[in-house]
Amino acid sequence: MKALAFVSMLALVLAVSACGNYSNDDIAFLDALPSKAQLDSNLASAPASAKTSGSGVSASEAPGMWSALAVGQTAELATDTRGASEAFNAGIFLVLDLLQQVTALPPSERKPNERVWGPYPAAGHAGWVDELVMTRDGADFTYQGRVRRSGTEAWTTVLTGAFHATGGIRKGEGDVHLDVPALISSGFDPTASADVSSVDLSYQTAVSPITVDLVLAQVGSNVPLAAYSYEGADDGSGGMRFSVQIGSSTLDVRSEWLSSGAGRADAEYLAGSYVGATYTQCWDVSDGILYSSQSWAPPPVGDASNCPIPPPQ
Amino acid sequence: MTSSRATLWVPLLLVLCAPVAHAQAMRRFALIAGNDHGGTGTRALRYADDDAKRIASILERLGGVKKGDVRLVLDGTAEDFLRALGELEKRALAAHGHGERTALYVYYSGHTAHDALELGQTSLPLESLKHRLAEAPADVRIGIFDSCHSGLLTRTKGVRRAPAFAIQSQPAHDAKGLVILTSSSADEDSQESDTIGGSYFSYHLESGLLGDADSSGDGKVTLSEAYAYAYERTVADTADSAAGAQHPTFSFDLEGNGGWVLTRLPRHEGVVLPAGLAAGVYYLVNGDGLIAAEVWKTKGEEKRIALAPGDYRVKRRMPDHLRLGEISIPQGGTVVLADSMLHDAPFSDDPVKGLVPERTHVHVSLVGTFQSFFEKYGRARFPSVPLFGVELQLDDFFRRNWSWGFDVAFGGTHATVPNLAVPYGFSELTLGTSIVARWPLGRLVPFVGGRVALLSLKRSFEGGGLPAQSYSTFSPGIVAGLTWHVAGGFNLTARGRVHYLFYDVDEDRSLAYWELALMVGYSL
Repeated sequence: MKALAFVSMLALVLAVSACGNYSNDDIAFLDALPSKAQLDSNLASAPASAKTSGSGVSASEAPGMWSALAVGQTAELATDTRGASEAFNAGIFLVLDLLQQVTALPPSERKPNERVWGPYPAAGHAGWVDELVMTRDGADFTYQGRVRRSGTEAWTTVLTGAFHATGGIRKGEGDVHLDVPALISSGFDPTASADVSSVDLSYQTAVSPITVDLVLAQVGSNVPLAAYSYEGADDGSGGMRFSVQIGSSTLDVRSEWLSSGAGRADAEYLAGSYVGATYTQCWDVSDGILYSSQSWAPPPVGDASNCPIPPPQ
Repeated sequence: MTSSRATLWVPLLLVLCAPVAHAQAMRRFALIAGNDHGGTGTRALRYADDDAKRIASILERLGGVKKGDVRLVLDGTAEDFLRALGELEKRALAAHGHGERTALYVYYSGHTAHDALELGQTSLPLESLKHRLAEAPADVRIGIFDSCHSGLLTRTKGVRRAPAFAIQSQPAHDAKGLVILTSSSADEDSQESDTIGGSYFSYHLESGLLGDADSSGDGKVTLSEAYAYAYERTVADTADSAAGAQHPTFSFDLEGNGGWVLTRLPRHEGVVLPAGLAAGVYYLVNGDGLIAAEVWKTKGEEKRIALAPGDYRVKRRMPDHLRLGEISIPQGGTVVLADSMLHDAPFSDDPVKGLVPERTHVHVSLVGTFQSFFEKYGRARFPSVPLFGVELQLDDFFRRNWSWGFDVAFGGTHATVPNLAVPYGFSELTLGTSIVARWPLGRLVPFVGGRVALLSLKRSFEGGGLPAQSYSTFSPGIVAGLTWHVAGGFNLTARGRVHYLFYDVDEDRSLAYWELALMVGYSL
């Protein structure tokens, strides 16, 4: 009886076959994929204490319509910068969502220099499956994300990417291309904007500050619908350069901020009726104006020496 | 009264204190001691405690010893033994004060060495014990010693290998004095048997006391009947043993004559082997597969065996088969065994078990272990790690000097994925079972054996949003080590293991890891 008890227990143990996803190579492949958390702008949304009083006129209005500003009022360029940061992050999410959904599960196929995730049911897309195929050549990785309807054979590639690893968690250089028309034409995401021909993401994470460029290309035009260049440091400071179309005018904004949220923005009209007009604002941690200067409406408001960040070189 | 050394047959004069002839009541006391463990360098016995328990049970049930007048000392020290003896001596004195006659039985099963009883790590010199018994305040003192070289107790008394002593059929007189029975002579070992689950001498003494020694058929088993029976059976059973024949001895210093009654067989409870039952040797086997009584029945002889109520299997060995049957002795009832109750059966149906249940010894230990993989490939995935845990060990569970162990351990560390510089936290949980063979060498016990473990290995990455990973697998291995029994039940163990692990994620690889452990244990 005792021997039988022992043998039975041993059989039970033996019945537990080896299982798991413990893999150094998986980490190497996953490490080559960008993550939203890594590339997101580190600028927080509007501080709770942001003042909204004042003339209410924002930079989206034409210079001639601007009225006098006062120290302490909400800096419009701070608001614009935060809005651009949120739009930038939404763009990152759009590009990386598919990658992160698929790679949340273990690879379904492992080869020495290849990993395949899927086909897995596509989250939020009933009746669709998605798949990611990655290949490795030394420190260089390439990948394709593709989708198809369940039960069909034909895949549609909607995303491609490449990465060169330099060591460390997700450290290196890479780019990702999202084919928006393919998303629409395949039926995977018919609600995607038809004006966008692609969303391209290029980034560098090898050294601090990281740099990320996000471009929403426009169908039938060389002029992008939106373009963002972001850099973020480990200490929470950062900067963003973005363009805003205001009618026929293009406003180019360069913003920088400290980890506290205080910052400055230097804007210039690059095209349109107001080309050459410049606008500078510095704000405190509550987005309150410390200094504001418009080239078309002197004198400036506040003291430039109070700007938390010196003017760009 | 002492006997001459040259005399082989010495009449033993005993007087049975008959209640009719003498109005004085007889109060009996019994010190029953058993100890499986002797001093350093001795091998543990298996059945000394069991022998003692059975003798105590028989004396309580059939020997007229009240429960409160029994002191059962199992695995005790010399101090425990003498303390119990002292308590019974006081009770005997008190009984004397009430006008009662008294008898003191002292039974011991265990080790004897260097002229002393070896009770664990303590000893009780035989000379002082003999003196103590001689001076004990009881009218009749009977010592029964089942241990190697126990004949040392009777050496100075003369007769050694006497098979019996004559019974004088004279009117009973009050008995007074000391009798000592031993299981072997001064230069002989006393042996145990796995088949009977006890030592030969005590086993036959028990069967005799239950009734098989009642040669007169009067329903009483006297000291002389019991000794003669046990002597004959013990010599016969050990004649061909590796240790050689074992010859019980006796000595006496007793006044009076007659047969001292050790047990009285109840007429209305037990099993009867009637005169008409076929002659032969019958074994009465209890529910544990142990022989409760061995009965040698001759043609035309009736035997009454005072077994306790319960279920028994009856076995009679024939030249080429067995005769088996089952009886159930009710409370206060008697079963008469008939040949019709037995059926033929093959030897394979023998109800007597060869593997006698061991008394399992339990140990618990705290363990500190260091584990590392042999190959770089393994270490690149599973870093070297310290583990801490507990173990439960069952000694003599399957068989003597084999241990069955259960262990659980947990540990963790921090490491970096090589070539990626990705840091992670690693943790491991192991559950294992092992069987080892031990070779006790006094306080040191080396061991070697095998183990099967279930490993659960996990790691989580610090930052970067990388998913946690895990791997579970069973892992067979070998284990070896050395235990040092320090004192007071505590022990220290140094142990090494080598294990195999099959890894099949990045690729199929056979890996191996080693462990070194230090353990602090305690015997429950």
